Amino acid sequence: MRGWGAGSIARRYPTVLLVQLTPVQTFLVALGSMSGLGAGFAFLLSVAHRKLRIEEDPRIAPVEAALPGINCGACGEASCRSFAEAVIAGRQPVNGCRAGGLATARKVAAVMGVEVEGAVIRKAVVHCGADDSVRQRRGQYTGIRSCTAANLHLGGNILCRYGCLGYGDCFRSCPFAAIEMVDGLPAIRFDKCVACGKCVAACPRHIITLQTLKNDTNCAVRCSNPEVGRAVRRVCSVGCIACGRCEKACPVDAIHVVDNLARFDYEKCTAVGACAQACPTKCITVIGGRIPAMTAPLEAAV
Amino acid sequence: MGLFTIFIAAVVVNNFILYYFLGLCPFIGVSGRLKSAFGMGCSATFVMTLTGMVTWLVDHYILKAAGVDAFLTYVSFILVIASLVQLVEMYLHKAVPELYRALGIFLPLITTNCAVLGLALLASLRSYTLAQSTIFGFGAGVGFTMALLIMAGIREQLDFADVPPALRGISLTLITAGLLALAFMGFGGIMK
Amino acid sequence: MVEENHAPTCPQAHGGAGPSTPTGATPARAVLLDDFTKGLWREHPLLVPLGTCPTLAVTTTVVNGFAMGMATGFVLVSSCVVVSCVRKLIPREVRIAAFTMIIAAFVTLADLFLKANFYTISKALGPFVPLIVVNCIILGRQEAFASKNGPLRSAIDALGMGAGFMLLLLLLGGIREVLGSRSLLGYPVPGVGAWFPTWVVMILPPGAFITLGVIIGVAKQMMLRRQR
Repeated sequence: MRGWGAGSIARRYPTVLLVQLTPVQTFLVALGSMSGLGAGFAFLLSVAHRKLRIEEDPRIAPVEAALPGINCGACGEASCRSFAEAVIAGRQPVNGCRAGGLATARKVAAVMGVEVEGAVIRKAVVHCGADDSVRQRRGQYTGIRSCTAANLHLGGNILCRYGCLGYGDCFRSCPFAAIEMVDGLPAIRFDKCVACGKCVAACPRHIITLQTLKNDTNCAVRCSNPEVGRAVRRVCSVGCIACGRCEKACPVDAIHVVDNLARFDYEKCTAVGACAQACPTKCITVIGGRIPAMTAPLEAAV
Repeated sequence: MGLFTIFIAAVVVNNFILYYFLGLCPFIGVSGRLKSAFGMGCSATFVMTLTGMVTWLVDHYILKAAGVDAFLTYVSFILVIASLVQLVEMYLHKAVPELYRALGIFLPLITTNCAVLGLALLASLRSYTLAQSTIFGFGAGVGFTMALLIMAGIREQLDFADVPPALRGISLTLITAGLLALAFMGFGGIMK
Repeated sequence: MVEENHAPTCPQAHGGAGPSTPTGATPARAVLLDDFTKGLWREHPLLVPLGTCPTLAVTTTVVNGFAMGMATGFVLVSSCVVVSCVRKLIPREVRIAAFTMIIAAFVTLADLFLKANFYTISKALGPFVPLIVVNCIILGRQEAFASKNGPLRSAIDALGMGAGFMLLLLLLGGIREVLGSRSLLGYPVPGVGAWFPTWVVMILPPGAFITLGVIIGVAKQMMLRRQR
């Protein structure tokens, strides 16, 4: 290797001292120089420790310790440490850590000396019901197996321009393993989902949304296609045709057809399930609780 | 050797990772994502430049002057590097907290990076002047960052590829590094 | 994919600490045997990976690989034993610095010994003997094992890791030397004569990377098959 040859070895040991030292003297010189070097750096480090010390709020460390520590970004801060600092500064509520849930909220509140209300239930909801058996493809795609990539190629290779492509970008983006791909359609596990929003960002067709839910169980419309009923029927057998029967059936007025697509008002939905029964294309299902998103419509009326 | 020659040599011709095999642990470990690779590279460059400077001072004024460089070089260099990294970390935390937060986790990792100690030893062996040693450190850091960024870009693309299970991870990274090294050998003709 | 948490030392430097024995008790022979053999295959340092720098750099010939293996093994065992003996005395905050100092002292010993007795090999190994100081394997073993267990177990663990490391060095060195210079241990290999065009790339960096990548791939395949 260049730079390590014999010539450089000779250059490596220039002795500035004119006399040959005895072993004892060498030992003493070595001891002295190393102690000096060590002491010098120890002194520098201790001075730095005092001069460069940052007076930080003593509550930051225990708050940070109460957090899950995965730096998922769901709260909007860059890291758990930033969230801890934000809580102390008052920029974030004590229950702002969605990943940690109620347990973390209680711990943080204990450090801050406040009471905590329940954590908000916010979950990701998938608005498409076309799995591999239903999905109608319009060609064979042999490119990179990614939804974003497939979507860039002439709008994807399925007939419905708004439907799920099934290559699993959302599945790969989830840091909590809350998404399972069942027959080419993502199923959100509510017990693991913390609404961090990574799947929402990952989906090129914006099929997944974050919803603030009042209850553990809700209904959801499994379609994102805003075109008229005829057009939807042509491309998908389980899409929303905006017939309006769900709106008429709902006893709590929680669902409305807006722009050819049924949409939920989650402030009102109590998972009665009448909408799911009434839907002719069976595109409304019950989600939440311990049931993964991919369930059949409600069997019996409540 | 001129300063510019030293710089170019350290960056492309004798790239620390792809030619000298120094700094491979972070190269394999941190090159999964472009963002972390960039953070690691920047902190490494910063530390390497400082190391080039400070180890020269220690080497010249303490080790060679006392004639103990024959057997105390390694101990003193690693002492210098460890303390330097600690000081830099403390200073950044106080003076530039945003930068500290961005680079923070990578700074302690750099202490045990072969590239830093390797660069100090190489500079000492070649009897560089202070300016040459500092530029050498800077060039080494830039070359390190460059190789790291290229590898991170490639690995992010490889995420979509269908890799056989046995080859996933280290195996494929090493093979890719080999191909990169092959490509970098083309730079060998720059220096005479 | 879960975000990785980087340890303050080498990434993934924490290997298995094994079952701990009560203070003062001599561990059972089975425990010691396990301490030794885990370094050979199950927890081989290069699967993490740790210690890739010297592995790739010095294995141009088998002799160089062997010398590096011996040097690393010596430093590994002696520094692990020393760390294990003084583990209760070192404060937690300065443990990394202390470990590194101990390693540096033994590396200096090894380096001077090599320079005095095996000068050509020392020259061939170049800077990688002093770079044993920052070899992640040694720091990793000290942090994961030697700082938590007694001297005997630490020594055996270090021996196992060193042996595993040595085996890989010999394997890699053998492949590179045979394919790259048609020789083994300096002697021409019977059967591989002038008809074999030497793969010069094997002696150069690219060959090293690719060969190690393939070896690790094969090893992982064997592990996967065994799991099934």
